[in-house]
Amino acid sequence: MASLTAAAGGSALASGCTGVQSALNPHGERADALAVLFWIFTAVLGLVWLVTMAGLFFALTRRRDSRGEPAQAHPAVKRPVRIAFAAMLTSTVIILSGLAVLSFDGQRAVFGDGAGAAVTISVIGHQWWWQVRYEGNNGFETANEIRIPVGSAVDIKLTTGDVIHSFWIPSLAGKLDLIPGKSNELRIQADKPGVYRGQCAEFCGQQHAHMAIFVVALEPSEFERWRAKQAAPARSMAHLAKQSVFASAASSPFAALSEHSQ
Amino acid sequence: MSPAIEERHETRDTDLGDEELRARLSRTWGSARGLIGILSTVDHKIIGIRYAVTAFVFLLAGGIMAIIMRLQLARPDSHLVDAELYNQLFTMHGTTMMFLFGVPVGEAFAVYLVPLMVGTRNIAFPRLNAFSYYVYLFGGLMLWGGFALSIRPDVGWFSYVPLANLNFTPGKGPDYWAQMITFTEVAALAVSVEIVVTVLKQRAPGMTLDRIPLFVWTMLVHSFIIIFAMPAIMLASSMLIMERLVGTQFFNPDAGGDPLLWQHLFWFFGHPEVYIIFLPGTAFVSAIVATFSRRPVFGYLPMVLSLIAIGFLSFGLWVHHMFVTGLPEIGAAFFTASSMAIAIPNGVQIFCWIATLWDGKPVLKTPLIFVLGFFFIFVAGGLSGVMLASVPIDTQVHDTYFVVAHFHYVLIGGTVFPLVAAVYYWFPKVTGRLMDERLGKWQFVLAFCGFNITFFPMHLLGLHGMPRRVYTYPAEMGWGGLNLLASAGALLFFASFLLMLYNMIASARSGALAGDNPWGADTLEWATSSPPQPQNFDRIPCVTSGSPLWDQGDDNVVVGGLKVDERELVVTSIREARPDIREESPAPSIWPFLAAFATAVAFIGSIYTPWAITWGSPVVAIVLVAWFWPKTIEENV
Repeated sequence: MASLTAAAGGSALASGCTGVQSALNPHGERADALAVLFWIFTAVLGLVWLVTMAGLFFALTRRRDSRGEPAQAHPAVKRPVRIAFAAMLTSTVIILSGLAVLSFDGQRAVFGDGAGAAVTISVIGHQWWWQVRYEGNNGFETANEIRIPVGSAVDIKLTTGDVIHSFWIPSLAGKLDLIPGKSNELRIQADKPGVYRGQCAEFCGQQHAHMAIFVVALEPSEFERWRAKQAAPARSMAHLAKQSVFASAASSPFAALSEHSQ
Repeated sequence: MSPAIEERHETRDTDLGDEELRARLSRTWGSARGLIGILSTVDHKIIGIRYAVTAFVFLLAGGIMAIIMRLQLARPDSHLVDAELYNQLFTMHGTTMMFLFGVPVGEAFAVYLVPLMVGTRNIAFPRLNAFSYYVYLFGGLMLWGGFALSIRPDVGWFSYVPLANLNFTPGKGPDYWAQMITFTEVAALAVSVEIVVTVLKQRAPGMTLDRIPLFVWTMLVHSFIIIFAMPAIMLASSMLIMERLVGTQFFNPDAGGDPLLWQHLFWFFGHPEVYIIFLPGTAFVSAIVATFSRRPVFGYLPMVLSLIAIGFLSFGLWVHHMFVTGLPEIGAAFFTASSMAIAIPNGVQIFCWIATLWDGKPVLKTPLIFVLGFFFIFVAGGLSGVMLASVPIDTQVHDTYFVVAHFHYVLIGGTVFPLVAAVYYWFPKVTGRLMDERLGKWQFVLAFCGFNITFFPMHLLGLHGMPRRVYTYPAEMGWGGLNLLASAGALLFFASFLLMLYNMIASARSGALAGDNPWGADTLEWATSSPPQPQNFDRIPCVTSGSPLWDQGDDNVVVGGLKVDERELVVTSIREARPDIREESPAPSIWPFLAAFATAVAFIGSIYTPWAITWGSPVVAIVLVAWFWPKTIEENV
C-alpha cells in the first residue's frame, strides 16, 4: 500500500506543478525551517522596499511652493529631512540586526547536531552521476537514487570522485558541496512518503544539467524490507551501479521516477 | 631663431588674450594626425572615449551571448544549442560582462571625467593610461579571437578547480580565460594608480578634500579597491595557468593542495569586484541627482564616509560566496554579519539621494528617469542580497536562478541603469550635442519593462529549484512558463540598447547643440567647452566651493603662470589643494603602444610555453627603456 502511495505521490509531483524540486514545497524538518525563515525575510525586506519606494515617490511628488522658490543651491537643510534621515538609518540598523539574529538562530536549527542518525549513507559525486553507498555490515550500492525511511534523520556523507558537485534536494534540506579532499555531512529527513527530486547545483562540466538525483522516502517497515532485500544480492550488483536500480524498478515504487530520470 | 624660441618658452598664460591662449594651448596639448599620431595620443579624453566605445562593443557581444542563452532556455528540452556551446556561451557572457565591460566602463568614465572635474589638463601618468588601454584591448581581442578560432573557455566565469584543471578540461580555453584576466587586471591597476594620483595631486587650487565632487570621491575609493583586490586575482589566475602549464599542485588535495584555495583567492577579489563595478554607478547617481534636483547631494560627509566604509567592508564579505562548501559554522556566521553590515552604508547613500530629491526640485529628464529606475531595481537587488547573506537561506538559493536574479538586479540596476543615465548626461559634453529626449524615454520604458520581465521571474525559478548553468531542463519540472517569460523580456531589454545605439549615432550627427552646460550642473567639467579643447581649460580655475559653477557665479578666479608652449600643469597639496609646483606632463609617444604589444605577445606566448616569459621579458624591458629614455624637450614646432 505504502508503495502505491509513494508512486502516486511521485507521479503527481512529476506531472507539471512547480513543486517537483522546490524550496517552497518543504517536506522535511530542515526544509520547513528554511522556508519559514525565507518567508520572514521576504516579508520584512519587502516591507523595507515598499517604504523606500514610498519615500522616493513622496520625495518626487511632494507639493512644492510653486510661487517661484528660486533654484537655490544651498537652502538650509530642513529639520524634517534630517529627522527622517536619522530615523531611516536607525531602523535599517535595527532591522538588519534582527534579521542577523534570526539567521543565526536558523543556522543553529538547520546545522545543529541532533541525536544520532538512523541511517548513514555515503554519496559520491561523479561526472555526471551519483554513487550511493549504504554503509554497514551488509553494505550495498545504488546510483542516482536514495531510499530513506520516513520520519528518521538520515546523514549523508558527501565526497567526490572527480570535480566539485553540490548535493541538493530542495524539499528536504539546503545544499552542500562535494569537494575533493574533503568530506561534508548533510542531514536530511522526510516527513511523509514520496519521491523528492534534486540535482547537482555546482557546475561540474558538460552534462551538469542532467545530473539529477531522487530521494525516495518509504515507510520504515517498507524501508527495512527493501534494505534487507538489497543487502543479499548487493555484492554481485555493486559494480553494475546505475543499471541495477532501474532493472529492479519495474515492480517497485519507482515506476514513475525511472520514467522521468531517463 | 634662438631668441624667438627663447621667447616662446617664456610665454605664460598670463601674457595672452583668451583667443590666442586657446589656440596656442590647443596646439601644445593636441594629438597628431595619422596612424602614428592616433596610436601615440596621451589625451585622457581620447583614451577615455576609446575605453568607453570598446566596453560598449563588448557589452553588445556579451548581450548577444545572453540572448542566445535565453532563446535556448525559452522552452524545455530545447536543442537550439548543445551543452558544449551553451557552457561556452555562459562562460563568455559572464567573463565579458565582468572583465571586459563592467570594470573597464567604470574606468572609461573615470579616465574621461576625473581630470575635468578636478580641473586639470591631463590625467597623471598619461602614457601609462595609453598603455593600459592597449593592454585591455589586446586582452579582449585575445579572448574573442580565441573564441572565433574555437579556443573557448567553458568552465564558467569563476573557473572552479579541479574542473578547470588540465585533466578535466583539456584544450587552451581556460588558459585564454586566465590570461585575459591578467591583461585586464594590469590595465585596471594602471588606471587606478593614475586616478589616485590625479585626485590627490592634481586638483585645482582651492579644491580642498571637502570640496571634491562626490563623483571623484567615489572614483578614488573605487581605485583603491582595485589596487587592493586585483593582486589576489592576478595571483590566482597565474597559479591556474601554472597548474595547467607546468603542473604545479596548488589546488590538488592529493599533493597537499586545496581546491578551496582557489575559491578563497577568487572571491577575495570577486566580492570587491562587485563594488568595483557598482561604485561607478553610484558616482553617476550622485552627479545626476544633484544636477537635476538643483541641490548638492544631502549629507556630503555621511556620503563620503559611507563610500570609504564600503571600500573597507567589501573586503570582508567574500566567504558568503562559499557558504555551502562546508566551512565551520561560526566562521560562516561572521560573514553573515559582515555581509548585512554593508547594507548600512549603502542604505545611507540611498537615503541621502532621496533626501536630495525631496529637498530640491527634480527635473525629469532622461538621466534622472534612469536613476529612478536604478532606485527601484537596485534596492530590490540589495534586499535580496540581505537574504543571500543569511547562511541558512543561502543553502537553498545558492547557485540557483535566485542568485542569477539577485546579481542582475544589483549589477544591471546598480551599474547599467546609472550608466545609461550617465551616457545621456555626459554625451553633450563629449560630443557637443544632446541626445534625443523622446527616444530616451522610450528606451527607458523598454529597458525597465524588459529588465523586470526578464529577471523577476528568475527569483521564482530559483526557489522552484532551477540551478544555474544548466543548458536545458525537462518539461515536467514546470519551469517552462517562467523561462519563456524571461526570454521574452530579454528581447525587449536587448532592443532598448539597440535604441540607445541608434540614438547615440543619430544625435552625434544631428542632435541639438548643447553649449557648455546644458543641464545647469555644478561641477567643473561643465565650465569648459563641449567637447573640451585638448587642454581642457584655457585657464586653470580656482575653486572656493563644493559646487563651483553654482556658487562662484561669474567671478572667474583662475590660476596664472603656466607655460603656454609646453605641457605644464599645476600640482597641489593633498589636503588643502594649495598650488605646490608646475609640473611637466608627458607628451604623446608611440612607446606605450609598442610596450603593450610586446606585453601582449609575451602573455599570449606564455599560454603555450613558459619560455615566452623568458624571451618576452627582455623585449618588454627594451621597449620600456625606450619609453622612459630621457629626452630634451622637442623643439620642432
